[in-house]
Amino acid sequence: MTYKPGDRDDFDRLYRACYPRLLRILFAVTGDSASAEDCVQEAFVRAFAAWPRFRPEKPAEAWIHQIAINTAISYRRRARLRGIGEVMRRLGRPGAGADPAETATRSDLIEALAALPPRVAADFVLRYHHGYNNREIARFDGVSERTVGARLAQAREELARRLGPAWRGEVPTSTTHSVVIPREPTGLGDA
Amino acid sequence: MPDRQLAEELKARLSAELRSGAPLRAPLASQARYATAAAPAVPRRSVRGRLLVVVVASLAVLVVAALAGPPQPRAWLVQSVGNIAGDLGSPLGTPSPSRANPAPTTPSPGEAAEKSPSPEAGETPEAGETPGAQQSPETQESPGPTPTPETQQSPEPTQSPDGGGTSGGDGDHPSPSPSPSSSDGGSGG
Repeated sequence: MTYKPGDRDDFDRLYRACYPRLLRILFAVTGDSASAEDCVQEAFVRAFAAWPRFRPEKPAEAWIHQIAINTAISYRRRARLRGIGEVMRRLGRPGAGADPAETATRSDLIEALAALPPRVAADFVLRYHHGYNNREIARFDGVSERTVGARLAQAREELARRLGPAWRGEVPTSTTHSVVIPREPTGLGDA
Repeated sequence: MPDRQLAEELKARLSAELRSGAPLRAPLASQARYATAAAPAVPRRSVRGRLLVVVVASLAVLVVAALAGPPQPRAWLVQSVGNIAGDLGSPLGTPSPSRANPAPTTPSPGEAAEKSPSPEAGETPEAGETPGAQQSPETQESPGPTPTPETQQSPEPTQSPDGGGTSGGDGDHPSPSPSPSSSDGGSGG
C-alpha cells in the first residue's frame, strides 16, 4: 500500500488502517485504555505535522508505529515523574494506595504487559495478537530479527515469572520432530 | 534462544483482554484529533513571525534608546571643545596647537597668548616679525602708494607735510613721507 506524502486522503487511509493495531499495542504498553487512546491520537497529530516530510521509501505503517511507540515511551516517562512527585508530596502522610476502580478493571495480564519495557511489550502484541512474524516486526522496529527474538524471549520469561510457566511458550511443532528427544524415565518424578 | 509459540488459549486470552480493554472508540478519520488540528505549517509560520516581531521590536528599542537617551558623553565632548575654542578665540574649524594636547584642560590666558600665532609663525619663530608684517607682504614691496598700518595710526605726515620741520630734531633723519607730494618736494629741494 503506497501513500503520497502530504496528501490528506492518504493520511486518512493510514489512520483507518493503523488505528486499531496501534490502540491495542499502546494499551499493552500503558496498561490503561484512556492513556492508550490519548497516546494514539497524539501520535497521529505528530505524524500529521510531519506528513509532508514523510519519505515513501520507508513503509508508512512502520513510520507511524515508531512515532506511536515513542509517544508511549514519553507518556510513561512523564507518568513515572508524576508518580515520584506524588510520593514526595505524600512524604510522611499515610499513603492513599492505588485507585480501587483501576485495579479492579485491570487484569493481571495487562498489568504484566505494562510492566515490560515498551518496545518489548509492543513486539509481544505484534507477534502473538496481530500475528506478524519476526521479520515483519523487525521491519516495523527498524532492528534485526535477532533483536526481535530476544525481546520476545524476554517478554515470555517475564510473563512466565508473573503469570505462570505456560507463558514461557512451547517449541513450535514444525521443529519439534528434529529437536525433541524422548526422555528416559528417571524413576523420580515420572512414577 | 528458540522462537517459541504460545498456546492457543493464551493467545485467545491475550486477544480478548486487549479487545475488551481497549475498544475502538474513534476508528474513523473524521473522529481523529488531527482532523480538528490546524495545518502543520501554520504554527511554525506563526512562531517565526512572532520571533521576527520580537527581534524587530528589540532592535527598535535599542535604536531609540541610543538616539533619544541622555547624551552625556557627547555633551561633555562638545562642551570641552567649545571651552577650548572659546579660550583660544578661534572658530571650531581652525587648527590650533591645543589639538595635539590630549588633555582637555583649559589653558591660561598667558598660554593662550603664546599659542595664538598662526602655524606659519610657529614654524619660523626666529624671524621675530610681527604677524601683521607676514600676513601683508604687499606693504613691503610697495611702501609708497599703500600705507602701512603704522602710517595710518600716525597722522602727522599726511595732515601737515611741512610739519617735519616743526617737529624739531627729526629734521636730521627725514622720514619717508607716504604721500607722493611730500616725496616730490623733498627730491626737488
